[in-house]
Amino acid sequence: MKARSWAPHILLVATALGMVLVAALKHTSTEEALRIAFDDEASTDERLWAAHVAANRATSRDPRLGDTLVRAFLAAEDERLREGALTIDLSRHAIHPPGARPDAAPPLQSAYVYAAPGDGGYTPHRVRSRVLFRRKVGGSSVGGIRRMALPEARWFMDSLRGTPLPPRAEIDRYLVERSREPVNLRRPR
Amino acid sequence: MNAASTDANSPRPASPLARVPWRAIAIIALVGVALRGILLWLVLPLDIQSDEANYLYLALVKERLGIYLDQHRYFWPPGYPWLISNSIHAFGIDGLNVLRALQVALSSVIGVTTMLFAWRLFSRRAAIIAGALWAVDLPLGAYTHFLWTETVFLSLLLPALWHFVRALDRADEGEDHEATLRLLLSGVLFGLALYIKEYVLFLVPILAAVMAWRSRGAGLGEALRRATLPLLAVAVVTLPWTLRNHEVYGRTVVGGATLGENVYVGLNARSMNFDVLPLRKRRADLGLPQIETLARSSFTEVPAGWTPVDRDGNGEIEVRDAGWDREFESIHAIDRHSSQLRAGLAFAVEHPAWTLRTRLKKWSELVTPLSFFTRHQAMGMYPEGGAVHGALRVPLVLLALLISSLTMALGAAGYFLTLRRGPCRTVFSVLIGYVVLTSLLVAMSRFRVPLEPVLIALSAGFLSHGLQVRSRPRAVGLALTLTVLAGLWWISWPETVAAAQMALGVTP
Repeated sequence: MKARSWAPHILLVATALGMVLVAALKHTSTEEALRIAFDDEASTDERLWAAHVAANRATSRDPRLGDTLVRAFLAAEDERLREGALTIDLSRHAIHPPGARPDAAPPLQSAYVYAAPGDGGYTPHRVRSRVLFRRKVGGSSVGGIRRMALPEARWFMDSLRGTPLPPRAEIDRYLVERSREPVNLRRPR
Repeated sequence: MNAASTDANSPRPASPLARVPWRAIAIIALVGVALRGILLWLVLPLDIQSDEANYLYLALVKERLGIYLDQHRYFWPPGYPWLISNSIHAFGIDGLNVLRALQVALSSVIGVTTMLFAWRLFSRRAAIIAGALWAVDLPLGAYTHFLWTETVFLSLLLPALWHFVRALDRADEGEDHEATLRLLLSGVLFGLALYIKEYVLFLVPILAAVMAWRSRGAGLGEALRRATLPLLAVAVVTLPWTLRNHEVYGRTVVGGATLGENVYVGLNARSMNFDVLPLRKRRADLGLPQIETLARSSFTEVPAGWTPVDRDGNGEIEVRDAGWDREFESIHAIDRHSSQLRAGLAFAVEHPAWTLRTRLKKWSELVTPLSFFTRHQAMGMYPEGGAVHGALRVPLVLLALLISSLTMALGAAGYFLTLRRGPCRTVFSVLIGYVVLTSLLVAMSRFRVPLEPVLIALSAGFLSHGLQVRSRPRAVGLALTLTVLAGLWWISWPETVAAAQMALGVTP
């Protein structure tokens, strides 16, 4: 390479153009993303990614995402899809009933997460659901309240690895203690 | 500027032929890493708090669902959650400690570049002193066991700056080939740093302008060639993420998007000092008055004629209530930037006296002797029964307070009295100015971290060589800087003392 060569510049620009071209070729339209998100035949990963794209491209709350898709995901057999309904992507599209407080949590997801546990107690999916919904960043209007604490993260990872969770009483005691922590004292939100 | 003295004590800025004292640097770096490793061992098991929890949440979602989420109010770059995600994927939740260990190892990059800067600017002796200061710099070292981005970010930022400075050197010396390679490498490292924090997004164009200006003697074409190279390298390195964002959001986001929320926090009625805010719960538990009640109200009180927004509608004005509220129509942080920026600026213009006095408060919070290490101590985060919470608590907190204060004061002396003109001084000046100006919006000790290695290098220069540049303007500059520093410390003194007492465990 000559001392004052423009070759690196040309190479960098060519690389950038190549990446832009690849991105353009792989682009998914919003309508296609919506179709895939609702498609029962699509894989879980495809549906989660499509919902991610559709929810984030929308510039205002969309009932197809905040209501219809949430219901579809929560009714799915696949636990990952159900958990996908609880993240910020779909929570921020929540449709609130008239008269709800501005900081009210997304109603569909709240009802799902706070349904009474069955006789078997907390399944790994229930623990993950609670963490995903309640420990998200963004405030109570999207379902987030109080930050993640280490025990919850540990249970989350243990649940993925098949490690048995603590007894129901221990989880209940922990959740009650956390729910009693004064939010306003922790920091302004 | 007057000629500098040339006695035996004079620093000899490293020439192209000067040999880097690698052996001394390596030994000190190993000692510094060992000290951080011991500290990590002493503080485990360590809980998480604040943004650490948010990073971990993002990593858990990535691990479970395979997607990277924004944070609704912020949109952080993905690099750090990605590191956490990979660590916990491989090691379970213990992966957090593996990442901490990785940060301990990475801190060697920070130590080595700090020493290289001191060597480049001053001398071998200064490099060794800089290494010693870095090794015991507890506020900086503590980030190796925090799950904040600072260690990883600095281990990319400092080498990027180092190669940029060396590129300026080599270009000045006519070594265009090496200058080109270093500019390329610098750009790549800046690009990688943008995956960790988008903080440097506007620093790179400023440095490119510096390069163009300093290269003007080589002709316009050559100046442009040099200046555009790091910019292009940054663009290419960050392009995959930028394109991903365009695909997901349908909008262009380079790095991340935090401005809108920072404006909401920083240009709003309530004063938020993040070095002391998280102490609220512990102070309540201890029956102590909240720290904001101790603050000098002249610098924190809400503007005259202010009408608060009762955000939760409970009829009470609480600490979370604001002068203006977040923009709720836009559902994405990315789209809230412009409207929140407008709201913040309008609020600032409407209350000019408040704006001025609270900006002084921001700078005061930037230069506070407190640190996240003292904050962790004050919050009681370190394990009870452990040495860091017990026997070592007082000496470590005192060390942290002392080294933060000393490096600011000595660093100022080094900048004005020891540092000679040259490309490195220009780059340091740009970085200092960048940190100071960006802190006008939101400030805390953590935002000073990019400057700490610079302050260490400058302190080492002053300690090694003392007064080198005899110049009235520089003497005046130092006097002014130290006066302003003392004034800024005075502004937040009550909170600093209260937080330091909590850190020391000597609350009244």
